[in-house]
Amino acid sequence: MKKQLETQVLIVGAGSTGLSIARELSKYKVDVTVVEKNIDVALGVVKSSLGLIFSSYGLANANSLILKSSVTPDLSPSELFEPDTLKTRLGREGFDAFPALAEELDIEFRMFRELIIGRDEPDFRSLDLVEEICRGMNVGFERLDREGIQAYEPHISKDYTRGLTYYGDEGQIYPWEYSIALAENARDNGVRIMLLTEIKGITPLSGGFMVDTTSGAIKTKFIINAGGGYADKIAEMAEVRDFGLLFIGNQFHIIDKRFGGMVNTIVETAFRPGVAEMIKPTLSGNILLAGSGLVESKGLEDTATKAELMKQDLASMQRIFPGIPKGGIITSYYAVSAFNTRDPENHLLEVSRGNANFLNAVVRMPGMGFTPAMSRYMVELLANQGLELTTKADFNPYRKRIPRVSELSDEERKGVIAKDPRYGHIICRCEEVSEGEIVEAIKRGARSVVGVKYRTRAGMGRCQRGFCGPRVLEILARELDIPMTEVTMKGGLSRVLLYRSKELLNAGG
Amino acid sequence: MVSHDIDVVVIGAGPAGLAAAIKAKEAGLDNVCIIERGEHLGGLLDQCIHNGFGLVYFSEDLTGPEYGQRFIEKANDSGVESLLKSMVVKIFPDRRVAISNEKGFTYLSPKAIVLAMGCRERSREALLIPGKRPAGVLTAGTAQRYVNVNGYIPGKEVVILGSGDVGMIMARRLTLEGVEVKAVVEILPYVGGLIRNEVQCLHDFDIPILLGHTIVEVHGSERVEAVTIAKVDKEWKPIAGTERTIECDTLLMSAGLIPENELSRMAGVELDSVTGGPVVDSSMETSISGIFAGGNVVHVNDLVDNVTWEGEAAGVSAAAFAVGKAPPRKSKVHLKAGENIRYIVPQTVIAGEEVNLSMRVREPAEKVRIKVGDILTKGLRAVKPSEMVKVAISSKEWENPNGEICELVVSCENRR
Amino acid sequence: MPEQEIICTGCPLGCRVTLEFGDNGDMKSLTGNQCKEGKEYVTAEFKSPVRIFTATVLVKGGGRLLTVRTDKPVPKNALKELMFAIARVRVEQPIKAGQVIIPNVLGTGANVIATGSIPKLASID
Repeated sequence: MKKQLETQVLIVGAGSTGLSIARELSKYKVDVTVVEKNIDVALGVVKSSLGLIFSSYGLANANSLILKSSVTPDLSPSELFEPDTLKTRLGREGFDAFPALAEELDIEFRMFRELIIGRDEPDFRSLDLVEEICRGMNVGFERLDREGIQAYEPHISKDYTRGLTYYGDEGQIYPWEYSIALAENARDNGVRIMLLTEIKGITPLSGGFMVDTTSGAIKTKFIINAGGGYADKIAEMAEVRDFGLLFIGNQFHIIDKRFGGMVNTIVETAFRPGVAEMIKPTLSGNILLAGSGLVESKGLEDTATKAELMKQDLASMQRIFPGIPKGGIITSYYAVSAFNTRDPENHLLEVSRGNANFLNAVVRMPGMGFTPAMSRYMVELLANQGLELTTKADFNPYRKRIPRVSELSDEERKGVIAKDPRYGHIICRCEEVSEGEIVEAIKRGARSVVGVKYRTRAGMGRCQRGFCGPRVLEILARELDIPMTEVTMKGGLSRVLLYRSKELLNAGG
Repeated sequence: MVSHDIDVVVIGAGPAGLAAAIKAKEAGLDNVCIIERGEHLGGLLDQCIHNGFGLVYFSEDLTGPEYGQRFIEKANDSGVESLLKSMVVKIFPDRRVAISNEKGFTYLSPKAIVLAMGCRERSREALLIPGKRPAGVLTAGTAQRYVNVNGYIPGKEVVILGSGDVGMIMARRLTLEGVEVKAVVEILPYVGGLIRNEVQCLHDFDIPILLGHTIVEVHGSERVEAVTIAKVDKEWKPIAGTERTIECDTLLMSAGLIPENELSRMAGVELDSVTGGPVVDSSMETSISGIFAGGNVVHVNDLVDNVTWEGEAAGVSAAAFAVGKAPPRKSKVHLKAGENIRYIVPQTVIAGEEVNLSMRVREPAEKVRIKVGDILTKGLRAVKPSEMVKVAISSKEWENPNGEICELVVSCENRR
Repeated sequence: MPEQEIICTGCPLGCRVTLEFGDNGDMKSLTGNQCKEGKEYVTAEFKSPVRIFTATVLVKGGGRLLTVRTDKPVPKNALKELMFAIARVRVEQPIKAGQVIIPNVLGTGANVIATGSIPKLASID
């Protein structure tokens, strides 16, 4: 008989939404369990998030324009600027809280100026619209001519003759680093995180639920549905489904950090329906190109990069920054963003109408920046539903990152190596990641190649695991005490190596 | 323990680095040290278990490990020092290097440096091949390490993209481990590597070679399930309607080698945009005084024997520089790539000096004449991009009644 | 008359040489080569195509592989059988480079010898 676990709050989904709520709850004497079907946290929608923490105009833009442009092409400033909605309020609160949170969690957080640029009449009209919105929001801005644009971005094509920058830089984080840090801190503060745990069924009981998972049965009073791209299916299992999900896809490319100095700001071309081009510096010194039309997608499984979009994206890149060569792209990916169909403009942060103990935290993009505020909001909802919140005296908000030798001073580096020589043995040449960091990542929960990648950056460089790949596999196998054939890229069937030497030859007998 | 009074630091203990270090030590220097990021000397030779090494240098047909062992023994015998599991993470134009290893983080200030970091492979991601990111897509060299060093086979139904030598070698190797290699897919109308490999790795095992084709999509979410190939037109663009899907569980990439020059860039060394490696003169010195380079870091070679010779030249020069006996730099003659020549190494030579030129042609051709300006002509039966052409210029050829030469155009013309 | 095409690997030309041979396998004529060395190579390749065989062999105690080769070329058509024969071998540490692992393998007259060495008590990693 499978073990039965009892918990007070069961959070479904270990993305930034679920983990943010988990960490918030861990400030109280509440038994919290997070279940995640993947081999690691942050492997769902969140891992391809741009990691932008929006304020002011950026928030309005991301909140409104992107979705409206793909789903409903009509635009007017009044439709775009939503000053008093929940999402705007939480967005601003989250943005204000983020710097302090980033320090507590010891994650990267930097501010970047945003630049919106145009080169023809439709662009210029769009820029006028942006100006109107900024005025309406009381956000300071500056209209730029060609010289003005060049002053910010000397490598931008001179075809861009008009632009706008607004005052209120945007924050940027690594979405996976944030999620991982939330998970570590939540765990430190008593939250139970169960990976490789998929929900098979939810049975409402009086005053709660019995949840059947691949890791056994869990009895819980409350369920928080932070199931991301599967949120509708989770709601269905609990018999409270009153929304569906619609997915919008986008293709992204990472450009070699060799060219990193060419882009200084978050550059967006003036808005057109169905197209959202963005080129921005990343925290790692690379450049990220988010090109292409935003198109409706079938779902989370739609992660294949597409040839026709490649062409379009390369054209975008070369049109905006002609100096970045095609050969500068080191990797590409396709990712989807989920929107609920009941109220696609908004998040569903609510007690489900069908069950007072089932709460939805169905989040749309932008869904990163508002998490500090969203999680407080969700915890308040729980309190209103009868969850007793007694503050923990020993809540520890601090989490320390894995030391990154490439960023330490020479003296610090020597010190770290003296304590653990493995920090001196470099495994990933492109990103300068040491064995010590990889071993620590595994200690902190990495069980797969992507787990190591997201905790250390090993494998994210220009050679794309050409050099470090086998070495990371050797270390994973050694630390997890499993044969190399059992190591996976990202869990499930994604084993890297299928057979041992001579196994195929000796298969006959 | 490595003395901090280093004469020459050699970065990389592959065939180029070993050759350079041996020559530097043989020149009589006290402290010559190889910095190697792997656990053994020999670089990639360890995993190249096939034969074909040393045919010219030793007049013997050796395997990679055997070829490497000759130089490892010589290096040990001559007193070359080495730091293993050590990575040069920083390099400065003044030749200081920062090295990270389990013992700590150290700076060395050698009198001369030889860059011998070799090359890396082009990834699927760099080729922008559409599809998801399933497990089972590896570069051929990485697969070679798994098979020959770790003892694992990536999959049992393999498609190989690119008919470079590494890919062909792995086609044979995998077949001899019981794997079905379903096809080698090559975008050009001819095989990219040596003919010897085409015959002994592909024809010998009836492995289909699909010339003029490329891969347009990789299928599979968690693991590779198939690839879709298509014919390409003269501009190497896929032709709609020619798509065909091949089921497989592994895709090996053998679509080009790229000299690994992160450190060269960091030092501020001038790079050649065609070779991807440092611009060097006939003494294998880069644009930075006292920094030399040899082997695949300069340009992708076809035979390890040539890599050894280049490494030796770099080592000899580095040693001369370290003791202040570098020959006075006379004015350089620039070599320019003319008709059907892709590149020439070294990029500059000294008028009057003997030098060996290595070059690659752009297109295959038969009955050709290699011309080095007006000073030398060499007839060749056939040339192919995959087979490096070597032309020796002796001091006699330089005798030129027309006065000073500053530039020589190297070309490959059809003979009348 | 039966024909066979052999590609000469002597130089970058890669001449495709056509050989005609009689019913008892003896070579009658040869066309397509452009030099004497090519003719010699192709003739030898036709009469007795041989290859050096290289592989890895499993080592008892696991963890390391031994790289091996045949010290002489072996018939091309023996390669597949050789690969199966090698697959069944487990060698004992230590091994010195050059050591004979399988003498006169499959009666070919060639020995399978080690091309690398495995010192005693090699660590498993």
